Amino acid sequence: MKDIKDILDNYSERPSEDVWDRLSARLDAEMPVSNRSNLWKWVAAAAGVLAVVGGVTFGVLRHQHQEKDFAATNVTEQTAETQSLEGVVETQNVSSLQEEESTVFVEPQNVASPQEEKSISVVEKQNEASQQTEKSKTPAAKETPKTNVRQEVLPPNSTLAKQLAADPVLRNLSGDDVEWTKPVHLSIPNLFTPNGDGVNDLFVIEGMEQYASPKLVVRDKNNRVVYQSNSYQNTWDGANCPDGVYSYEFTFTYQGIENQAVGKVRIMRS
Amino acid sequence: MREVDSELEKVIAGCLNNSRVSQRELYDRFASKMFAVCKRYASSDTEAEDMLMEGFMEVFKSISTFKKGSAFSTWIHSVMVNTAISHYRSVRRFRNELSETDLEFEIEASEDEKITTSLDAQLVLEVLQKMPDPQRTVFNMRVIDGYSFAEIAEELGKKEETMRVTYLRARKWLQAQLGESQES
Repeated sequence: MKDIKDILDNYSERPSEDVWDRLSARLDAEMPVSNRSNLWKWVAAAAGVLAVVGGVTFGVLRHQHQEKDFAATNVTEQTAETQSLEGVVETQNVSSLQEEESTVFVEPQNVASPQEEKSISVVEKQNEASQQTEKSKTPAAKETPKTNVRQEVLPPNSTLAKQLAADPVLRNLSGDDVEWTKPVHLSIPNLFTPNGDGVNDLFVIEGMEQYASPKLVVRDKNNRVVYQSNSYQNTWDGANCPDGVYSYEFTFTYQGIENQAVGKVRIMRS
Repeated sequence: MREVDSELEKVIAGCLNNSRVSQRELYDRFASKMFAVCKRYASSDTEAEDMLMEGFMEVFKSISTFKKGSAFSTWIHSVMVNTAISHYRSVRRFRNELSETDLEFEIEASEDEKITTSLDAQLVLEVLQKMPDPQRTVFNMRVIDGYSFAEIAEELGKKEETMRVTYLRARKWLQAQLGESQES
């Protein structure tokens, strides 16, 4: 005779394959791969360039380093960003090109040196912060309870996204063997209810633990600081703050770079 | 043991970067175990699959809240149970609310005695899926997932006393069912 808890605890059953298919479709819709990693942005741009430039120009580009005069016109059209991307694409396609002139090989340029990458993420984060500020200026009436600070790069259902997902080479580039900066994934509420009922009593920023030095400053309508913490622990309970809207500045550090999220939060006790 | 852990850490890191390959790996690792959890809370396999999908969506979305160094299996289990509970909250209502007068005399029965059975898990699950609704959720939370009555009451927005009685009814019901199937 066995305890029913043991029986059920030790049980496992493979769900039908259909579940993963549905799950993966939802992941594509709700968490498109492109908005998570900087690499994807690069790859997306590279694929776009690849499509436009096409195979012929490709050959031209390969000659660029040997015969400058040859490719000059084509190359000047490329932005600095896309030029460096050619390095990536080129290495990916090198196998197919080796048949012709295996000696010609364009050295992949520094696609994302640490500095570059960091500077990009700073810009992104600053953009986000400013987006949030703009968002918070709109009336609070129809706001959802939580605002996810997130960066969209490529619409999930765009043709390009699908093409990328379908391409085995490009898709593998999103793999785990490459270290990329973590996505900004903070969820900052725009409402909390510090009435002591145990539910939503504190101003809790989800995802905060990924970042160093979380600092929070909260001001009232008159721009007076009502709360300040240089090491925020998700503990602000709105003490001594009457119901109303407050503005916050949340500062956090990732890989040595300081970022800020600003927005409004409403205190509502009943 | 260490090796397995470091591999899991890699998969989790991949999931943090929203890598489909890693997400699939994580799913493959835990789907069977988690499906068993969902089946306990669901009234049918179809519903269990829906819960499983919701649960994994939640896992992937909130994987950044998982604290490195703690047990991942515990974390994913609790995410799944929470999904099952909110699923319950969203699709169901307490149909047969208990009246206050029922409470006092039912509460006499013992809670601590374990339900034992020689039946296998599949049969128990089959019976459990037939259990009427508030009972099944309360039973699962209490017996298998270790919630206190106070916690159950809070999660489901009901009185603690009501939860106790619901739980006792669930036990009686289950014992009757299991008894019957053992005899036959």
